[in-house]
Amino acid sequence: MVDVCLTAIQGGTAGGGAVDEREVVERARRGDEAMFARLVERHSRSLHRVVARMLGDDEEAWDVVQMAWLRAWQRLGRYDDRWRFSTWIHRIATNLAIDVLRARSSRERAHTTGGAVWLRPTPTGGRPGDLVEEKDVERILGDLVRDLSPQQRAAFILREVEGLDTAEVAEILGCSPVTVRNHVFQARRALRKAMAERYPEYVPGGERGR
Amino acid sequence: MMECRRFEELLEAYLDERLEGADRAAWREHLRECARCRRLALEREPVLLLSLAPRTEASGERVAACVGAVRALTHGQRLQRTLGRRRRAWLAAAAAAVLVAAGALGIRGPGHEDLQAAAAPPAVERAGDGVPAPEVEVETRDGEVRVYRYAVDGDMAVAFVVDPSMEL
Repeated sequence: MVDVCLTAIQGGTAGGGAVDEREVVERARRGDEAMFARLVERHSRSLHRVVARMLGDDEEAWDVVQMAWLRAWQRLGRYDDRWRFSTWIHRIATNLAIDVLRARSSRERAHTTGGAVWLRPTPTGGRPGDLVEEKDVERILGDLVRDLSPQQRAAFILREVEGLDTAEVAEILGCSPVTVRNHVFQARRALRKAMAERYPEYVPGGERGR
Repeated sequence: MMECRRFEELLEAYLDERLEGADRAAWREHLRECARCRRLALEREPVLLLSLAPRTEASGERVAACVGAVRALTHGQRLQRTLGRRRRAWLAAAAAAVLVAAGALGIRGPGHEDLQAAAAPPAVERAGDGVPAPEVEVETRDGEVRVYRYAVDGDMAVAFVVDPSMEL
């Protein structure tokens, strides 16, 4: 499957699709629940994919997606149409996911007495560059991103996994493009280290520094 | 599709976060499609493996369930808002009725006894139940809010009708 950025993920058509989306948003803003439902249908897949990867929990991700839509409904009057709607709704969902991760991490701090225990998935015996099964990549990703801070996790997933441009990630996270790049660099460094420890079969010659 | 030579040229730019837009999308597509270039890139930066995560899509049923849940939430909110508006209209009507009653007393030019009566209105009882009847009652009927004020002798009279769409 081809990697595309969010513009193409939304399920709308190119060009005219954007105009159509503005109309749908405008009608939803005037209280048309059916139009709002159309937006929910159009964007929920990509929202869920991003949030599920951030949280590592499919069902909790749906809860966050629904909460994001409810918040969007309450705040539609404040939506500024200079933003792309997809960016706006991704921003709401990502912020909620970051809140969940922070709450989770403070709960873990409160209840953990020793160091974290990682369950290392069974290695598949791959070689760098071999076409790894996609489900293995998903599993490794889910395991390794837990090493990242909520902001690094969001930036890495949006930028490196979803393939968005830096400017859009910055808008979603509400920070500067420079900060996004810093998050991505720090995330890569942490992931490289964790990968060398837990999945050395995918790291040629052990840990590498850049 | 991007050529292998171009992919190699752009490898460092990608890793330095200097690649954007169509070039970046094409580079990522080539990473996914070309085994030789993928091997080269993963030897340079193993973390690129994670960029190959599948573009999973939730099922139509799961999305439909989400749409249904969100519709229920937004509908519930709208209902709450509507009820809140009606409640405000009720309160406005009740407050207006009290003012009308007080005004009527004021027009008569109350003496000392009248003022006392206004401060402590007589407790009119409804036949047999021993419960004091309220001075003002509000009722919604056919989309209207009707406010009733009881006279001292217990008879009932329509004071006025409030438009329920009225907002304060």
